[in-house]
Amino acid sequence: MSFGTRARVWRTVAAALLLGSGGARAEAAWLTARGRLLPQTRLEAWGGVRSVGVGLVRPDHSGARAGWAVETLYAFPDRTLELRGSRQWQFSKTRTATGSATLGVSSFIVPVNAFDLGIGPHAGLNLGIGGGVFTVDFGLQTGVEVFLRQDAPRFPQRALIGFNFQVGQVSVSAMARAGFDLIPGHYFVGRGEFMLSVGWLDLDRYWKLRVEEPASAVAPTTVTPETQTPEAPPTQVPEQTPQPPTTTTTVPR
Amino acid sequence: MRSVARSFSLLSALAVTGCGLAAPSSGEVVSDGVGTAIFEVRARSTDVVSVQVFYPSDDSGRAVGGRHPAFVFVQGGFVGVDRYEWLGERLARAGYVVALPRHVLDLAFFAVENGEEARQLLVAPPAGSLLVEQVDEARIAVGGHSLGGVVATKLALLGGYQALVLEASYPDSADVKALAGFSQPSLSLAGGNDCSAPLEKVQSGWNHLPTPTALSVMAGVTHYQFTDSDREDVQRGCASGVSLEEAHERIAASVQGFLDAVNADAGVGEGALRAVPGAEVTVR
Repeated sequence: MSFGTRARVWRTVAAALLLGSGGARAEAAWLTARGRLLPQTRLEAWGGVRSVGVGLVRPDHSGARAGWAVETLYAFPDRTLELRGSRQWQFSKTRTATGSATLGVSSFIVPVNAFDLGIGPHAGLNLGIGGGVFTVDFGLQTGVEVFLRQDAPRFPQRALIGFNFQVGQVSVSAMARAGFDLIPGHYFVGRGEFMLSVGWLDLDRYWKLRVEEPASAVAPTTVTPETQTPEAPPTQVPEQTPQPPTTTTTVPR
Repeated sequence: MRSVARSFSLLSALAVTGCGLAAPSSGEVVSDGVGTAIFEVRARSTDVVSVQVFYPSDDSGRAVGGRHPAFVFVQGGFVGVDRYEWLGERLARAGYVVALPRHVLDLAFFAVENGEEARQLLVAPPAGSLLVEQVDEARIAVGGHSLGGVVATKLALLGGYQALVLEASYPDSADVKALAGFSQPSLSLAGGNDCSAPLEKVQSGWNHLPTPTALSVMAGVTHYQFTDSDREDVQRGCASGVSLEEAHERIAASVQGFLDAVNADAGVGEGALRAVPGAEVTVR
């Protein structure tokens, strides 16, 4: 396959992705576009075909199913700055398929040649499928953006797919988002972006998450004989016996 | 630590504000009397659209003359803007300012109004740029190749253009109704050996263009001979009846003949179109 043909195939795939995302959906935050809210604070930096940025996702407390996120980015082809904040709610305990919703606000600064400011709410629905190491995320996003200099609001509609790996305290993700901006009185504008990101999950070591006290510890309950369960017998901890020294074997490579 | 923070702040400020949009006061000379330059315009509040411009220039790349007629040309689907430079250069040598807006993925359909941004650039260029007082805003035409022709028709319907040129293309069926109210001259150029935009479709599409309009079918010309290379046609086994150079001569002569006539008397340049070798011209 020649380079030209390969390039055309890839562009056709990208175009098909754009074409296939014509439903009602949105340009919201990258970092909360995942089905799972991780139990620890996640600091993540990304580089994409249209932006570079950094952000933070933090659960309300240890084990919470809701959290906050902020992210800031610089869209280098367009030379604009964007700041997004969002709230994420995970629908259930983390399982193989976990859903979440996000609601937030995006703001824009257009500093060069025709200074402009923009702001608007966004919302998203996410589904993450996978386990502790690898998940695939699907998302639908919608929103509204208004600008000082634009005569009509913009309604970004996006579909998103992401592949996330987590090894220890580090995560690596690849995400793609495509869709349209609908602008009343104007032709739609196709949008698409791909990004790679690296996350660090050990921030709680320095910025501790609040530990939520279990409800039973706060409100003491009266134990009646009917509800009293027999206590389990104390488990015997075997005394440690000295282990024979391990030998090192050399394995031929 | 403070100096690191200060350096970071300075770099951030430079990254955001230090890179203004390109508005050159002179360009690169591409051939005798023709210069080219790339402009950037702000569109839809947040987007930057690149527009390549060809213009009559002196030896140092500065624009010469003034109040030239202009032509906004929209690229075909998945065909880079650079593949139409030959046409931009030819028309610039004939005294036109030609603007070629770029589109993400080379798909004009996903940002139809980039062409309108290019027209706005010609009408109201940035202060100090080479385009200042170089374009007669009453004489701006729009055209496009293949999918670009579909988009050019949509742009023409937005208004502000004095003529429409379709190269191996036909209007979107969604625009047929609106075209009935279109009152500017138009030209549809078809390749007799086009394997991508079949002649029947081009002819059928031309029927929707209101008068005055001309259809010129150029014998032997293929779909990609409207660009700088016909390699796609060759790969597909789509045989051409003329060389690429000859096809370019015929295409450029037809477009220029039409645009000259539009600017002279709002006609379609039937005489100039018929004078092109191998052209079968229908006018109504």
